Amino acid sequence: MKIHKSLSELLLLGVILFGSMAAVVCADEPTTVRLTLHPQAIQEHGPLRPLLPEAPDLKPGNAAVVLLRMPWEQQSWMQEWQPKISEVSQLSPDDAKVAEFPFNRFAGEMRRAAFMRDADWNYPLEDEPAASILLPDAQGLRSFIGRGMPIWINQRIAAGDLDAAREGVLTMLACSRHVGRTRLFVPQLVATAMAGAALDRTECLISQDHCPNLHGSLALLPDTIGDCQAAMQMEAQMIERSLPTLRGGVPASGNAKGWTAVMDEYLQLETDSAGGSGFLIPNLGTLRLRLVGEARAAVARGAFALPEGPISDDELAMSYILAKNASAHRRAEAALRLPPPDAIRTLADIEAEDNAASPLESKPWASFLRMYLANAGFGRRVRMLEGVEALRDAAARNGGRFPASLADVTARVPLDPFTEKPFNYEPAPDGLSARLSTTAIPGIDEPYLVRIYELTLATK
Amino acid sequence: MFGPFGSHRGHGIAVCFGSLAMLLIAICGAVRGDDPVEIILAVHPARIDPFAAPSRLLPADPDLKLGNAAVVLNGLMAERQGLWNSWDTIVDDARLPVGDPGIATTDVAGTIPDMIRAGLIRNADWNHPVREVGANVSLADMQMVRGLLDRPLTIWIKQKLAEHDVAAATEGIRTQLACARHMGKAPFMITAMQAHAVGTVAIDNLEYLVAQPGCPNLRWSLSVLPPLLFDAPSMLEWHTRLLELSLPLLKMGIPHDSDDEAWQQIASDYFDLIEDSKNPLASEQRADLILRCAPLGRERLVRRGLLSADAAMAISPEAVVMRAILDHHATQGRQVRLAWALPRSEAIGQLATLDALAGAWDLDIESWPLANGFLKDFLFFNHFSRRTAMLETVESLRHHAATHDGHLPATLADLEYAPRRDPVSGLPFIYVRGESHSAATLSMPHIPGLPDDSQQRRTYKIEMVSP
Repeated sequence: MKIHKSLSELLLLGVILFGSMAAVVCADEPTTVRLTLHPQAIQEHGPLRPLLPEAPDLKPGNAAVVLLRMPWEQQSWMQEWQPKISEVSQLSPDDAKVAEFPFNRFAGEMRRAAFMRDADWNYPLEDEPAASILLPDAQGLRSFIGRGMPIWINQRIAAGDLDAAREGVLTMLACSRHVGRTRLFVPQLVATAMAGAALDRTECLISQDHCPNLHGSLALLPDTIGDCQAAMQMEAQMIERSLPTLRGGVPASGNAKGWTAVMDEYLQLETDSAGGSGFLIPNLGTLRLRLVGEARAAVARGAFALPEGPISDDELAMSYILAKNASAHRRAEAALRLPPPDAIRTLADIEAEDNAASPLESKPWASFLRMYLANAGFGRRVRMLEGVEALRDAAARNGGRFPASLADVTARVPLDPFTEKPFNYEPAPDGLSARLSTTAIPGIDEPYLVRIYELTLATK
Repeated sequence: MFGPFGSHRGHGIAVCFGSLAMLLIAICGAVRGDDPVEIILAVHPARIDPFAAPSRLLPADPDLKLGNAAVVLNGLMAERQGLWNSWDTIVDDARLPVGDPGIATTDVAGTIPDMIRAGLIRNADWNHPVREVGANVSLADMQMVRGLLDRPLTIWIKQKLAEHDVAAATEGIRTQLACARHMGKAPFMITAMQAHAVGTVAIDNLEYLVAQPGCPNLRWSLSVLPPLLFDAPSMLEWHTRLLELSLPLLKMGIPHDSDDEAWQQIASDYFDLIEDSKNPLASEQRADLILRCAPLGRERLVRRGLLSADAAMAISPEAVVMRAILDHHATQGRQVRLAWALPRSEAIGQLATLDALAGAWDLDIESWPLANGFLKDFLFFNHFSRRTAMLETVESLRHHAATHDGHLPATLADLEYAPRRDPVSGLPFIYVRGESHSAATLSMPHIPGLPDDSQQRRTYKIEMVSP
């Protein structure tokens, strides 16, 4: 399936494209994960087992080339096995179908790519209308990295080779980071979805008996796997980069013909995008009138200064759209630098103000809040897993029982980054099971943001 | 505690943790030390216009071009050799305040276009042979680049400010920060510090800029600046590998305990690395020192379960001592990396603990390059974001004054644009309005748990100039 990079359809990309992302973006139920854990103390000495390659271990090279040439190198494998990846990736490590799944050189090549410093995907961002750029490679890679590597990791887990399984997680995360090097929202989301799949395997890994405690390794993982700030800067220019007329510069004020051309292209873009996302769209004439009306209303309430001199309705509306687009992205970019609770609040405010001010069903930009929650959601899961590892350490120190409260945990338990409050922790009275869950985000009542770990300690 | 090497470091100074921040104070004059600093800021009201495009203080990602900025900056040094003839004058002039007649005639303009070009390039690969020679890399290029970005560019910025060319001055500061970020791409702690020294100068220049009549409100521009001008995890990963990269035999892996010859060579290379090259210890002195340290090293290795007591007695003193040093280095490297990964307010406490533990290092040979001073380094780096956050609050105050007849608010809670908190302590900046309603002080809060002489507190005495 081709990923068509357009503006408003981002809202639905989670549904269409991303397996585990679908759970993140669209599920209306909390995610509950049941883990059976074996107490394991944190090893205080010796090197950390990395979950991303360390800088001195990276080699020069373009990982994109390595990843994209894999299918060409293994065409018969692609015909026979690639269609089965999705099904097999859902199976448990001890399933016979997992054991017999061949990898040829795929796993090795992905590992080679993981240890490369750069990934330049060479999208024609400077040469073609940005919204029409196709990203089929990102979807294809999701199959290899997001589904294939988990099978490989499951094979290692089944064989008891836990350090190799940990390296598999590292490969997944590093390749996800490579995908996220394209500074557009869609690759950022794809990268986050694949990184989420890596965390799924990490959960499986730390449930294995004798798995070393990964508390420190998790602590060193970043809060996001991509570069949201750079993507926001690129997306801010998406309208200008998508309308052929604007690529030559903004028409002069008073150039009614030029502005009408811009408006025509914009309306076409909007309807294409909205159509792709399933929104009901008005006809072009109605949409044009709505945009002009919105711009006039903004001028009337002093939210937008009219360009000087006599101008056409199309110039007024398009000037307003461009200014509003830039302003919204600027505010969102600044919000990304804030601590997560402030960022979430600010992005929610931007969204609410936009919804109140605009009569359009679709917006010329994606939902910043959803983007943020998806990207930063990676870090939230990592911190929560860090908490799980702290509890494994506590159980090892506490005679194989979970502690009565997080205050009794020796190792650091991070706060829930989205709220800066402690994760909810509810141990059973016998200390043999416990529940660790995310905290409620003020003002955001979305079940898909709730994650619950039902933890049970294995009895020997 | 560090024995004979405590007071003199060798050529490894280029990449050493610890007292480097103080070294930078001496070499660049950009860091203003531990004393509280008071700055008088006479600023003009300036409204924030949400629809106007503010200037960026770092280039936007889509505006960056392909290329290697390190080549441009190094080429600039080669191309402008005449600059070094008047370097002393340039150094003096860069310290002059905006508007000083002495600065107007200093000719630095020829260097500026290439610096601006470098600032707009995406990558900077300095190609230092760190994998080959570890800490024995000469970083003379970085020192020269730092000098260029600091002095001639600052002079040019001040010249533009004196001409009230706010746009050009802003471009100069943007270039300073962008090129500082390029310096931060080199894999060393010292280069990260040099990057931040340049960043500090850029913030000094920003203080001049916001005080200019007609300077647009830079709140947003400040708000999107990164907290650091380098990739901290990457730098720390390199830094903790630096020892093994600097000792040639270790690149092939840790020798067997019984390989006396290899351990002797490693010990010899290590002494070469940490000693003052002008006053090296004689080989007998080195041997004596190792013999004195061996019992403690043995005790450490056994205590930490790395060797059995019998095995520890069976290996050479060099193997014992070097293994103890390597273990200490690995442990500290791990702890420092984990501390840096914490939220900043937590990192402070953890790094202070590591400093205390480093002071208790039991061998009489310096553990290089992770010696101590972890907290001081951390605070030095994070001072950048404290200052940008404080300036951002000044810009919120300028907006308030523009919308309230030139008056400052009674409290920061009255600001339309929420003030930033101090990013290191998490506490609000301390704001006290004067009786005139056009003057106030804005100070960095006291970081809990830090002694006064480590605070580096900064106070702005703000005077809002009537429109």
